Amino acid sequence: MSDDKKDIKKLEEHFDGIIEHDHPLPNWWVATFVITVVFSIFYYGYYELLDGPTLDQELSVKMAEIEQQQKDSVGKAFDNLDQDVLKQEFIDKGKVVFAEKCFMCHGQQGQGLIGPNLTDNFWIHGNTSQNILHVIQKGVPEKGMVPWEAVLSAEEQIATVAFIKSLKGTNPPTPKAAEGTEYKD
Amino acid sequence: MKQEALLYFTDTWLTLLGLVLFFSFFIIMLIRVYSLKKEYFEMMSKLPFKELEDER
Amino acid sequence: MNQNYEYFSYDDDIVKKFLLATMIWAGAAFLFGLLAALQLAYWPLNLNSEYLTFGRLRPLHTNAAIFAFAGNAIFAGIYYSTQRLLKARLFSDLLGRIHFWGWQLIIVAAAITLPLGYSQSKEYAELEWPIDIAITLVWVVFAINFFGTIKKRREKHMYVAIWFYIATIITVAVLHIVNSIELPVTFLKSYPVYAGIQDALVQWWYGHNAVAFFLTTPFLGLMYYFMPKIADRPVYSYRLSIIHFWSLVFIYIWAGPHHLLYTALPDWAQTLGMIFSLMLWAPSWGGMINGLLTLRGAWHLLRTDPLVKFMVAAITFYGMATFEGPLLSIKSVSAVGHYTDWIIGHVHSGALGWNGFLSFAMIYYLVPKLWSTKLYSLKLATTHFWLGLVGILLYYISMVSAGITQGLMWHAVNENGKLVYPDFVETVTRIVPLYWVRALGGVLYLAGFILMAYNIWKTLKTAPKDQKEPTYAALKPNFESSSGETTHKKLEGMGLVFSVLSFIAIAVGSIVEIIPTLSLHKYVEPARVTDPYSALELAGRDIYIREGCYTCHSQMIRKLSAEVLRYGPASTIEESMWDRPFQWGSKRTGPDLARSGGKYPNLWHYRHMMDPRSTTPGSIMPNYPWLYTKKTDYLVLRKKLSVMQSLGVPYTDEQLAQADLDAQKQAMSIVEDLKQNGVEDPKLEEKEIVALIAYLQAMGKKERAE
Repeated sequence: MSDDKKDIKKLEEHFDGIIEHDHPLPNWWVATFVITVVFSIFYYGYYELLDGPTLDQELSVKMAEIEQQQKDSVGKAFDNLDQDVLKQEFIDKGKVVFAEKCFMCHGQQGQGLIGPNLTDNFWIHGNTSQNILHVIQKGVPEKGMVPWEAVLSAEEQIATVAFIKSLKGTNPPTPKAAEGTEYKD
Repeated sequence: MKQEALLYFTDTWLTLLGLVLFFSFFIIMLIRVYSLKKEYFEMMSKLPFKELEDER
Repeated sequence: MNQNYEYFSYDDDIVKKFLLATMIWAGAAFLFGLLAALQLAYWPLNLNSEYLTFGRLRPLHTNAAIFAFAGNAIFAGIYYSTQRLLKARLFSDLLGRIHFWGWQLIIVAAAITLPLGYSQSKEYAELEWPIDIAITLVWVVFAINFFGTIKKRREKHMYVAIWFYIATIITVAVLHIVNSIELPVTFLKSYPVYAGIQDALVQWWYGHNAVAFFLTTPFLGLMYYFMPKIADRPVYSYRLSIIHFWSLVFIYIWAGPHHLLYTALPDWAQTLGMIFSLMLWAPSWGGMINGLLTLRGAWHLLRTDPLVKFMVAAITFYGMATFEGPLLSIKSVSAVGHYTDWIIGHVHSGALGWNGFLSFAMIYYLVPKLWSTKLYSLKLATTHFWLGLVGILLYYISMVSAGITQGLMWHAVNENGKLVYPDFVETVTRIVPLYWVRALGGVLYLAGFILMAYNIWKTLKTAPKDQKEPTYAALKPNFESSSGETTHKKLEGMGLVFSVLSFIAIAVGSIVEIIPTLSLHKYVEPARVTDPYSALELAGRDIYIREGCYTCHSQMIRKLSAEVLRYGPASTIEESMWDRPFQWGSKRTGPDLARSGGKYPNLWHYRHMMDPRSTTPGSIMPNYPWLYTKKTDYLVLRKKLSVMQSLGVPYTDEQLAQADLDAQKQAMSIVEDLKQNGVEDPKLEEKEIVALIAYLQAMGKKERAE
């Protein structure tokens, strides 16, 4: 045992007389620990054992709210569709939307690529502004046309219809073969 | 709510058992740690410095 | 000569080996990381090469950083400090060498197989089954060597560092084995026994605790040894070290589900994951306090000694990361932060700051000691420190801003109930500048490391040629002391007691969380039926796995309104019930794919995989030209389906028998559609792209009401 003592003595000399006492745990540290544990117990109790809402319930409340907002915001925007699509400002705006979102499938000039040609007289889902708007909004999922309702604002949707209508008869090079019914007007 | 949680989890006793084990373990550890002497902690904290080169 | 002493030497050669390996693999890990970072900033750096594309490079980077760099650093530090703390040479020099060379072999195997696409696509557990077995064997060798050393020790008391090592060895073994249970299909392909939600829970129990028990506890052990040695004063509070050790080990194991908040995982498990993460805060900070306050009365060293700088910065980053972790585990914070670069920033403050800097301090400390010389240049080491520090800060700040920016953009909904940024790619192009800043941070960190490599190389050149193992002395274990034989037993028994206690500590949390989900039927509503993938879809899925698509795409729409608006109804447990492995993912560099099936026509996918920018301008996704030349392996499909069947997937024997024929038939129908739309490729039905399209079109389409 004496040798062990000697070792310790040496150690103390090594530390140049600094005698270390065992330091107490910092109070704030203990408090943090206790608070997180107590909070956790209450949190688990409320959400999993008592009346706390489940994630599904929280989601459905939120979704109901959003659906209401969506319902409220629709309605008036499309009232003047037939007049709006003739306005140059809408056509210009629609050109931008088309260049961002539509050209990948319908071609740079609307000549058709993955999706049908938009410049001829043939329409698969009808040729009125309402018809085109409907396809833009709801898409044609079975053929890969994406619904844009959630992506484009009402104004952008009208603008896109306007631009598409303006494409008629532009006769771009390498058009995709005609699909659908011919409409002569 | 409670029913819904339990519908998905019939092993409530397992969680409870886990928590009980967890807390009792802590209490035992705390009691033990505070019953140890200061000299012990001091000795332990100096262990890394107990390095003796060959003195022959 | 004192009769009471025993004289012995340490096996320092093994420490030197591991140290040099640490240096080499650190360089590799940092380089891979930098390349990956640059690929995100500038997609052409994917080089159109299947071997270097981001999806394969990212696992290579994470595996190199965790298992090669940190792994070798841990082994070096453990072998050095354990021998000295226990006053005993390693149990076996030979086992040490087997451990060393075995581990390097595993790393080399990983470095070859991951770029070749052999991957399980489970994060930080990507390596295929033969390598998994090798890891287990080498780990057992390490354990024998370590516990053998404990058994022959001359120092009765086991210093706290040793406990951290014990917890590491035991827990990593359990984690690795449980998470790696898989059924081989071929020599380098397997399917995990867990599916969907089980796989998700087991994987994140593993993934989170790999961080805990591979990157935290061993490094805390190293800190408890090297911080006092570098500062030359004992640890601040030994009592605190005991308390924070046990609380850390006990609480950590429960926190895994915080990676799965708002997912299809049952609420109770998510809540457990969150509260245990919160409770982790104080225990983690116990380590930080103890490390930092060890410097009490010696803060002047911080100004003069680069080693102390590295140590203090490392411990500070540990404190930051372990505060941020609980914060990110709070459900509402996770809603914004999860899937974004915030998480990437978070882990890198830990990896670069805590693990990296602590390893650097240790290497700077050990190299001169082991090679009995002086460090070539303290000044260079100081420069290394500042370069590294600025690098980490740039990395961290850019990634947290990118993450929060993108997270908020994803969740922004206007007063009309519509997404403000409905185009995913818009949220990507917004943060690309920050990817450049991150890459710059990486450059600085790597530059600092290169200085270090030079410094170490120069130091080694000054080392004396004949390296002798110095002899040390310790008191003979005092078996005849007061309590006689019982002391001896105690001496031997302590290691065992600790191991058993640590095992119990981690087993409790694991059992409580994992066991309930193992009986999947409890969670599946019988009214909903999910059809298993067709043979071709399965082939496509394995391509998805091979290419590491999970590194950028999730397949889990969380129960959050903005995600439902963007991607469709929240994902259900049933939808992924046949998924082996699950591919819920953890990062959305690209959009979620859980409901991508049927959203676009086949032609869209055909063009998109060839050049993503042709369909999505601004996309940063790599091109996948090799999918258009490589052929789908139809013959292996029977084997694949039969392995799936034996794992419980309801394939009929008939489906098994004609798996390849069914697949070819389905491929033909896709090819027909592509041809009608103008794709000209004579042997298209043989190509992998067709299988991948089949899988992409099946996603989210397999569930139906009974």
